[in-house]
Amino acid sequence: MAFFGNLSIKSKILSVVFLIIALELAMSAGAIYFLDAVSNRLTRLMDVDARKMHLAALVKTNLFEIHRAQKNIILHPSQEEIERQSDQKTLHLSRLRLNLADLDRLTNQQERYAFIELNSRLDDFMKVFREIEALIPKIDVFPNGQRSDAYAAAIALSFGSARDAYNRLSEQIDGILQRMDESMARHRVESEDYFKLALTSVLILCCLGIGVGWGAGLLVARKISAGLDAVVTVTDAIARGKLDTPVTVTSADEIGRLAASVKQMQGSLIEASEAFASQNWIKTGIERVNEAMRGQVRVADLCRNVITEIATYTQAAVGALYVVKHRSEPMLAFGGGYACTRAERIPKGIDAGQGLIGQAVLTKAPITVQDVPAGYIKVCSALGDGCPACISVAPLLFEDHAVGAIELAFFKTPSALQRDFLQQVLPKVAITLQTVRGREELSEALARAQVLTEELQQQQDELKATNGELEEQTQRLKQSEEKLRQQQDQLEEANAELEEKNEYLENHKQIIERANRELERSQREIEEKAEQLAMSGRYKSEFLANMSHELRTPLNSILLLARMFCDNKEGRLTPEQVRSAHIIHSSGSDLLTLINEVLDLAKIESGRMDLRVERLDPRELARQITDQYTHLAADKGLPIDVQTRPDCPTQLRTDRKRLGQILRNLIHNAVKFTEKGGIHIVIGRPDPGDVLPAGMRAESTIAIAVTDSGIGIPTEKQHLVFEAFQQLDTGAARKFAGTGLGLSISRNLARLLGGDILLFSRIGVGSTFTLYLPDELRLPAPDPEARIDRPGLPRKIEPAATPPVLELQSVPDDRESLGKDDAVILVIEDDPLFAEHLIGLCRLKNLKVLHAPSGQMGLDLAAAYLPKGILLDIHLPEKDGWAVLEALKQNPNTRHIPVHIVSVEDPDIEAYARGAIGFLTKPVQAEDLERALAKLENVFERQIKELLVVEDDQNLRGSIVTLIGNTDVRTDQAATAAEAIAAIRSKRYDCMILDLGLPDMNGLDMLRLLEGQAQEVLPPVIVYTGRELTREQEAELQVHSESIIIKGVRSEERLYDEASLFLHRIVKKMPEKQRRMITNLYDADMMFRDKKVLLADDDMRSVFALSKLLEEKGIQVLKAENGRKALDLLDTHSDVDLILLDMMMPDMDGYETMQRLRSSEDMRNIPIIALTAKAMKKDRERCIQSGASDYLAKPVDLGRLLSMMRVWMYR
Amino acid sequence: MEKEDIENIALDLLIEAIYRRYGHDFRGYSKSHIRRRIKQYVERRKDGCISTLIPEILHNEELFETLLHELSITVTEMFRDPFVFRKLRQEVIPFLRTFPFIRIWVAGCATGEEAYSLAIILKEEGLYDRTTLFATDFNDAALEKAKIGVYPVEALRKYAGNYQQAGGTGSFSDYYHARYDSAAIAPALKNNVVFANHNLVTDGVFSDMHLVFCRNVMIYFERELQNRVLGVFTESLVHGGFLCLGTNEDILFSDDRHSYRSIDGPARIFQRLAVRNFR
Repeated sequence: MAFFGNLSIKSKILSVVFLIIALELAMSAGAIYFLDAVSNRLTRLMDVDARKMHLAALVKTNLFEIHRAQKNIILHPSQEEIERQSDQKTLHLSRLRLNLADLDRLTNQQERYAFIELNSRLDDFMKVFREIEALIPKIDVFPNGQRSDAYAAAIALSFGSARDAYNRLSEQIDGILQRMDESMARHRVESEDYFKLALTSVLILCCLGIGVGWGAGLLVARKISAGLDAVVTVTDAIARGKLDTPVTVTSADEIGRLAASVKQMQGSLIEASEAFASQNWIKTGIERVNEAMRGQVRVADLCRNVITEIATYTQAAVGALYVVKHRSEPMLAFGGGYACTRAERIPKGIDAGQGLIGQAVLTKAPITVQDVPAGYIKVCSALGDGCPACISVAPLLFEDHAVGAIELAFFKTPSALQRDFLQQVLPKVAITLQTVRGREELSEALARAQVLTEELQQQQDELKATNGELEEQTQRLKQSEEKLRQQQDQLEEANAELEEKNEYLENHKQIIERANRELERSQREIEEKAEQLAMSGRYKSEFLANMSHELRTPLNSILLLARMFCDNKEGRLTPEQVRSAHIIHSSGSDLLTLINEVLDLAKIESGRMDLRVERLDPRELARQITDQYTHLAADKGLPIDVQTRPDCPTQLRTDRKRLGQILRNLIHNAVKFTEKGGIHIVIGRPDPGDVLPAGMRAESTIAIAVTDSGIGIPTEKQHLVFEAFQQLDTGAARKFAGTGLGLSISRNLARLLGGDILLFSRIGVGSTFTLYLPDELRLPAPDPEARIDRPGLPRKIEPAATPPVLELQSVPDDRESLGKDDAVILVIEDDPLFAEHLIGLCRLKNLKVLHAPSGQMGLDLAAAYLPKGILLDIHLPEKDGWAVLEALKQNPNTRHIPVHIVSVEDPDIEAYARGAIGFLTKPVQAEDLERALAKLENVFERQIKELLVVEDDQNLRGSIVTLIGNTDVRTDQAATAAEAIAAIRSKRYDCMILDLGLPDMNGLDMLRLLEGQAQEVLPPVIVYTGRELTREQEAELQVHSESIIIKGVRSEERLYDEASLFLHRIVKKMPEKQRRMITNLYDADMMFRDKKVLLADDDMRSVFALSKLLEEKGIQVLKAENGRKALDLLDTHSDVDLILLDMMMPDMDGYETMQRLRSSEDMRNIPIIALTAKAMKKDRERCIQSGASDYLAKPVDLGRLLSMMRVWMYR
Repeated sequence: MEKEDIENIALDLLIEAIYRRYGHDFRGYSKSHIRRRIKQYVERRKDGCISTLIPEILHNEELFETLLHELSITVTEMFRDPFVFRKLRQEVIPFLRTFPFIRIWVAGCATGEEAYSLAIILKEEGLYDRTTLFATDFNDAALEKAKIGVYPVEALRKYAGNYQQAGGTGSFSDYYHARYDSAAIAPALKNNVVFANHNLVTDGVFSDMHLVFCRNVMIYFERELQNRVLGVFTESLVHGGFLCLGTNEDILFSDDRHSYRSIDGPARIFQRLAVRNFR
């Protein structure tokens, strides 16, 4: 069948046709054969059997006829009869012979025997017949009918033997005939059977032919249609788009070829559609990447989107995109990543030619690496990780320039399609990248331009602000300039006038001189008298002043105690007693007021009232008056009405306190003397009709009128109200309690303020007191003579006046617990309470205190203890403060001690002249006292300073001494290290200037030596050298010295500067020994012993300073100045316990160092403390993220560092 | 309420939001400056106003990055105001020479031009090897550019003119390699320059500086912040160290004015005076 299958359809059809024809032929042949056979049989049946039978029948007939004719001749021997019968007989006999011959010819073998029998029987018959025949002629018929004997004999013979022979012959013929009939019947049946057989055979053949033909046809048809169907199915499928439908037809025929060509077509279709799909895939990919790139304005976003899209699209496991920063400097910067694990290991920047990606950029050609070794890069997911099989790197080319590069890692080697995709998409990415970068640069440029404008604007703003401030100042300057100009004009005017006057004077000089002489004489007399008068006045004032002080002190106690009783905190007093205490308190207060007023008056009269000129707003004043006195007046049911007139000036320069005092007096008076009506106060310029006090001008004067509707003052007594200790009359005095000093003081104060008080009053109507003040109070320049005169005065009165009657109370102080270096303050104060207060304050400031309750004791203590500073009271028993101050300043041993005065007196410039450094008025505020103490400290630190100059060059040494030496600084010189060491051991210096190049010893070694000797406290050292130093030298020098100066053009300037700095600074550094003691306390830090710490910091000073401190703890410190060196050190020292790492170092910074450390196996767990100056939480988090165990802000706080180290080194 | 008042409120809230959300403190910046910048930013976005920016900034970190970028763009050039650099050579360098090693802080270095300008001067004065230059800025992108040190060639041409006027003694072309349209600063100038992130508003002092160079930075700050920054400089400077400000900046009205004396008025060079109460 296979063979058949392989036949072509034509052959198949032909073969089927041939088969059918062959079958037809075979059938025809069979039919013919059978027909022929049947025909033969029929022919035989007809020609042989039927003829034989016919012949046999003929033979029988012939015999019969012969026999009958012979019989008839015998019986009817008539001549005519004999003749007819003889003819008959001859005819049949000849026929018989013929028939017999024919029959013989036809006889077959089986019949031969019967035929022979026949022949023999015929012979018998014939013998008889001839015998008869032979008789017939003898038979003569006799006319009597008598027959001759021959007859008889013939009859006898014919009916006897001839009949028998004939019968037997006829029997034989019948037998033959029967047999023949049987044979014929048999033959006919045979023929019929044969015909049936032929018919059947032909039918069978026919059926067979049909069947085979049908079958073959069917087979062929099926073969053909099946193949076609398969092909059609495939083509249908293809038509439907199922291109991958397999073509199963494999036959070699046309269908096979068709299938093959369909297959081929399918192949090309698949190829085409695959190509189409590929193109489509690539197009879609490009579309997606384009989509991802669309609208991106920032390179970073673009990169991220592009790498993500490309990586997902190509099913890369990991991807990274780098961007070339500059065309000229092909440096690649990390642009974006996809699924990058351990992002910190991905380099942020790569040089062109460095690594694959750099190479790709350099050669502008893609690189693919197959069979990536394990561990090259890991692709991690939450569930596991693996190694990619292939790394593909490709540059992004734009106009033949690499603008970036992309690296992708694949688990499977990327297909050609993926490579095609990359090849097609990358130029587009490159273009977009370039465009976006261009746009970014453009917008950057635009932004920069804007920023530039912005900066200019900002600068302008700044300038404007500065200008504004400057302008204000200029304005002020201009104003003062204007004023100066006016003054100058005035001066010029005055000059001119003076000149005029001069002339005039010149003229009158002689007259005047004459008059002068007379005047001088009378003046001398007047002066003498005035002197006496002034003296007595001043004596009075001084006395009053002193008296009131003496009175005030006990009064203070009275008031204090009365107050306590009033409060009655313990509740032991009866209400009656409390009322009494109230009376004591109010009386005391009145007394205090009186004393104060007396004192004020005395002060004014003795010219000791100090004024403080301030600016104030009259309207503000009006408000204050209203606020202050409404209540007071309301108590008496009086309204107060304060009115500011529109012409009132906007500002007033005068002594606010004194003005208040005047107004208080006037208003109190007004309220006091008014029963009904009200108080009316008007502030403004004087009325045009007013008579102003002498020397005042209406336009620069302010008038404050206080009008009451009281009893009024009679005209004749109006001048008396301003006199001291005067009241209108005793009656009024009784009715209206008061000292009577108020108005006197007010007028005196008003005059002191450059104005006056005028009174207008009518009995029963009321009084108006008008205070006139100049807008601006100009204080007269202090009269130097008067000042110099005064110091002696108190003493003149005092010596005998105040004998030491008080029992002196000394307050417990620190004299028992004084250390050698303690800063001691001496408090000279007789009031034990206040002294205690002062002592408390001093102790708060860690100062030790001595207390002296009297001047003399103060002097003794000062001489004995030489305190750092003195707080001095003025009012002291025995010897007052002024005397103490003078004595202190006269004693050369105590002269330098700063003295600060704390007194109830008002501040006095004089005190400074006498050597006090400050003046504080009681009651003292804590802040004031603190300031005073600070002042003292400031001064006592500024003593004579000791300077040591160590320099081998004598000239230079000399010039340094000249440069720095002054009265405050005592300079010692040393030419060698030995001298210097000796000098330092002998005395304490405030500063040492050291040249490094000494003849006997290197300066640094000398410092080391001195540092090593713990008993010496090294002064601040300034290294002054001409040598260039290495960083290490500098670092070590920095540890030992305060400052290093390299000799040069500007070095002297700096030397002077630095030296004076160290000579005058306040030393707060603890001495080394003390510091040691404290560190010993913490020696529980045994855990630090023999530990190894690596310290990496580029600032060698802090490295050395820190390492020194750590080494004191017994820690071995390795030092590195940058990350690289630190890593090198760690290579050789693997036993480091902890790393202190500065984040900001040159070469390799802390972050990178940490990352490298953390990525190495050995260093993964070592504690790292990051030192950073950054403040933001994010920065600190970055430290931790980069691998720091902890971080510490710079400058490093040692305590925190140690506790941190304790935590991290604890095992 | 005026539109501008509302805008000011929105601005204050935005600045506060930025501070509380991201820690970047613009509260002390000059209001007018910040307003102009943010308005520019808002205009460029073509959408919304300052008040609608607030919620976006709070939730969108990327948006904030762009705003931060906008706020931190600066302009600078090499040897800007050449006379300042000439004065530095004349007045400051001789003094710096007396220190064994010199530490210079270029605060707000932006893209590094001024740091490299100083490096060139130090090189020519033979002090470069003794010097560490700390160039700091709070803008990482700018720092990155500064580190790379590549500038457009046309800018370099302008710088060359400045360099001459600043009293350069060599040939400016020795200090860069030009290629295509860019020029890279010579690596020899980069050795001793340390670029680092430092925010003047929040971060602390750099110790023992001999020269602090901070030009046209403080103009963007309000007086209070100016005082703080100047305080940081004052603390950072060694006694006798120098401070160089922008030509329109002054310490005349600042708290620390008494800690300095003026070395050159127009160039705004000041010297730190003796520190009496230190440590």
